[in-house]
Parts: sequence; structure tokens; C-alpha cells
Amino acid sequence: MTTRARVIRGFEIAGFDLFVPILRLLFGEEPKAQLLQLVRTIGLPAIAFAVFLLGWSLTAAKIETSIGAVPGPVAVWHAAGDLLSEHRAERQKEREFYARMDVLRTEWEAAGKVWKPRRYTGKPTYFDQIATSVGTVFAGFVIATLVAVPLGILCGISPGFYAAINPLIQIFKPVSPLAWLPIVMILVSALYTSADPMFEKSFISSAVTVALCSLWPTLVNTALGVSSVERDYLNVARVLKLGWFRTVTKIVVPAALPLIFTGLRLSLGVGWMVLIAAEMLAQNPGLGKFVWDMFQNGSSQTLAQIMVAVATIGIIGFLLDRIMIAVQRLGSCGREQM
Amino acid sequence: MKRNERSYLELYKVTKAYPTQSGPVAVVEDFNLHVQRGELLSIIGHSGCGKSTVLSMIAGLTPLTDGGIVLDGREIDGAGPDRGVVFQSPCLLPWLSAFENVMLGVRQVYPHASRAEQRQIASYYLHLVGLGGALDASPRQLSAGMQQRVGIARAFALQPKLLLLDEPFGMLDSLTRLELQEVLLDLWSKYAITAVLITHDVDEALLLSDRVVMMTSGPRARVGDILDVRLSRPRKRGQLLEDPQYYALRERLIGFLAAETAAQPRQSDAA
Repeated sequence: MTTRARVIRGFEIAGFDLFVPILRLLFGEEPKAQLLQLVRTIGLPAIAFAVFLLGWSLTAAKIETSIGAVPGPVAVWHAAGDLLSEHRAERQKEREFYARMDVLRTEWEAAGKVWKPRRYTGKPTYFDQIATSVGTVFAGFVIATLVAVPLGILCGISPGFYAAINPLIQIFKPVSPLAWLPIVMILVSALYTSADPMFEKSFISSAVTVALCSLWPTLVNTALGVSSVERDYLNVARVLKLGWFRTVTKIVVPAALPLIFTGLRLSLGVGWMVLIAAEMLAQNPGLGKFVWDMFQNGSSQTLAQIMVAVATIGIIGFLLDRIMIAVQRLGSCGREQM
Repeated sequence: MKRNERSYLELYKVTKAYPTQSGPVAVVEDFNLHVQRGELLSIIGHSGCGKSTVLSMIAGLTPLTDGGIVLDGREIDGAGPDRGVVFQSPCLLPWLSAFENVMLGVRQVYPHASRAEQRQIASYYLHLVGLGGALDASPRQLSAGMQQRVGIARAFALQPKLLLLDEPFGMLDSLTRLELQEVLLDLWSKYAITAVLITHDVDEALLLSDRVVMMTSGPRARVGDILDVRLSRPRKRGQLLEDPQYYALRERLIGFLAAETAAQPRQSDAA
């Protein structure tokens, strides 16, 4: 492989297929074909996006609600800017607080008094909420993966085990996060009783709810992947008389990896959707709570800020999916199955 | 062959039947075969006649419905590394390199050897099949012929009692097939290993084997006829083509296969 081909392959694996024609153009490969490709991958979506914005701004102005007109794209853009400057102002205040504390500390220590560090307790900004949400969804996703992959492998290997737990899977799979959440919250407050908790209770209950709802695609896909390993590969294992453990680790799991990753990708997508709903209902910090707070607040800014949140949720979900695609491509070593 | 003399591999009244809605249908029935130690025996027949089923039963991958198979004085019960199999498709694990694919078997057969010795064995056999320069290649980077070379190395590295080859060159283009037949012939004469080769290629059977078993067409396939190939070894394709005996043998094989083809419609009417 040439360096050029390597660079292009790297971009493809990372999920930046969009830039591949640009790269090829820079390398001077078939400029005409690349330009055509660019028009198709960037030009056409850009036009569709422009049409969408235009339709939005034309209809939005005509709808009058109890809290003012529906904001158009420009108003939402400004709201996003406001949230950003609010975030910056809050960070500024935090820095000033700690600077003051440092001064105070040297004064106290000079006077021979014991200094107790204090933490800044400003309200979380929009970007803090985003960070909390992303952290929570990853925690839930990790829990789901740790449960679903081993269970899925067991299901795929043992038809008996699969038959035994299949009814449970079918019953629990369609349950909405909103139904799980109260149970999880009650259980978490009953069971997670540490004097000095490492995690917030709300964080645990959101993460567990995300895990409960998002483990199913991984479980089902892993079971399918493991049970449909090519007979030829299993025959190799039988001829070599590989032990159970080596058959699973050397043959079954690698063969099932593409489907396992497909399951993980679906799971993360489900988890992200579930998380927003869970945060909204449970008043756990995060984007969901932000939306709910804005809704309760009912100011003239409400709609614009909720729309910023909607866009943010969409973009983050999209990015998470891209990350998973990249991981999937790496993990399935080129055996693409999507 | 004398009656009371034990053969290295014996198939005794081997039958394989599959249940269908109208009762069990025997693919192979009363299949008797004796293979001597060090012999290379081909089984030839029309596609779908059940020759791969016979091989798969010897390999222990398919259970017998009736009868028994004895290898070196022991009845076969399930698959095991004492019988190296070269599959029709190379069946390499695509997530392992060529070397690791061979190592997988080597580690099973030489569990007490040190890691360095195991690695030496694996790379030795890969060198033998001409892949010394592609040890770390992933199967995807290798051509079909190269992949099958790895498959052959994997089977030989097990130092099996019996080598089973299931149309190993069936999926290759004819030039590559000729190359690999030479590779196989070299290795076989070097290790004097007992081998059973499934093929539907008359020339391949004559070039490689000591005897050719002709199977009748299924269902209820059995041994139709056995041809002794008394061509001198080592054999070279060029020399064979000049040998008048070769054409006589070839004629007999083709005659048998043609007769089976003619018999086919009657049998499918009966089925």
C-alpha cells in the first residue's frame, strides 16, 4: 500500500468518508470524478439543508404561541451564542472564586489557622449538562456491554440457554425507559447507601436505566453472531480438537465480532435516546433536565433554547454513531457487515 | 489384498442416511474400502455423489449411520488432529495471519514443545509450501492458491496419521491447480503420509494417486470400481502424457464416469 492509499484508508476507517474525495482531489487523482463525488456528498446535502432552514424560517414566524413567536434559525443561533457566553461567564466566575480562595488561603495559613478547601458551587452551564449526559450515557453503555456481550455469547453457544432466557428477553426488550426509571430510582436509593458516595445517586439511576434499555440490541446481535459462525470455521476447531475456551476465544468471538459491533452501535444509539427521556423525568442533571427546566421556565427564550438542545442532542447522537462506525470498522478488521 | 491382513485404514459397511419426509434416504450405503499405509488413494465420482460425505465421515466431522471406520487399529470416534483435513475452501481464519493459522494447530499437536519450537515447526511447514516470505500476511492479502498452500501447511504441520483432502484444488484456476498438485506431490513423497483425496478431476487422480476409487452416483452410493495406477514414481506431468498406459487408465476412468452419467436419469426416476 502506498502512503497515499494508507492516508485515504485511515480517513475511511475513521468515518470521514466525506473528506476522501477532497483528499483524492489534492492528490490529483481523477479530478473530474472527485468533483462529481464532492457535489454529491457535500453539495446535495447542503442544498437540502438550506431548503430546510428556509422552510423553517418561513413557517416559524407565522406561528404565535403563548410565549411568543416560534423562533427561526437566526433566533436559535443567537440562543446558542447566549448559552456559550453564559458558559464563559460562569467559568470566569469560577476562576475568580478560586483565585480569591488562594489569596484567602495564604492569609489563613500565615495567621496559623487550619485551611479547609471549599468548592465552587455555581449552577451547571449548558456545556456542563452536555458533559454530564455524555458521561452518563457512556457509563450506561459500559454496563450494558459488560452484561450483554457475555450473555449473548452464552446464548449463541448454548441453544438451551438461549431457549431458556429468550422469553425474558422478548418481554423486557420492549419496556420503555420511563417504566424502568421509577423502579431503578427506588432500588438505587435502597441499595446504594454509602456514606461517602463516589457517584451521585441520580447518575447511577440514569446510567442503570440506560443500560437496561440499551443492552438488548447487543445481546441479540451477539447471540446471532455467535450462533451463526460459519460451519467451516467450527470444523477447523473440531479437526484441531481445540478446547472449549480456545474455540470461543480464537474462533467464535472473532467470527462474531462484526455483528457484536453492529449490536454495540445500535445500543449506544438507543442509550442516547433513552438517556434524554430518563433525565427529563428523573430530574437527573444533563441535557434532558435542561430541556425540562427551560420548559418549566416559560420565558421568551424557552423555545429557542430547547431547539438548541434538540440540535445538540442530534449532533452528539450523530457523532456517537460515527465513533461507533469507526470502532466497528477497526474491530471487524475489514470484514464489513453493516 | 489378503483378507486377514489388517489395512491401515478400513471402512466397513459405512452408511450415511438422512431422514426425510418419506423415510430415511441413504446417501452412501455399504461403502467398503481398505487403504494401505503410505498409500495415496483418490475417490472420484460425480458431484453430489457423496464422496465428500465419505471424507467427512473419515474426518469424524459427520457421524456414521451404520458401519465403522478403523484407522491404525482404532475405531474413529469424532474429529481429531491425527487426521489433517485440507478443505475445499481453504477455511483459514481471516483474523489470524498465515503463521498464526498454522500455529493454532501446532500448539494443539505439540502442547509440550516450547513456544520457540512450536514457532519453528509452523514456519518450517510454511516454508515448505513456498510461503516463507508471507508468514505474517493476512489470508485476505493472499490469492486463493496461496491460501490453499497455507491450508496444506496447516494439515502437514499436524503430522497426521492420515491426510484428508476434500477437492482441495477445486476452486483454483487451472494453472494454480497444476502448481499446487506439484506442491502436494512433493510433500507427500517426502513424508510418505497416507492420504485420501476427493476429486472429480481424472488427470489429477491419475497424477497423484496409487489407486483410484470410482464411486457410483447417489443415492446409495458405493464403491463402483477400483483402478490400480501402476505408473512409476516420481511422476512428472510431461512424462505421463507420453506414457500410453496413462491414456488407457484415463479411458477407464472416463468410461466409468460416462456410464454413471447414463445411469443417472434412471436413478433419479426411482428417487
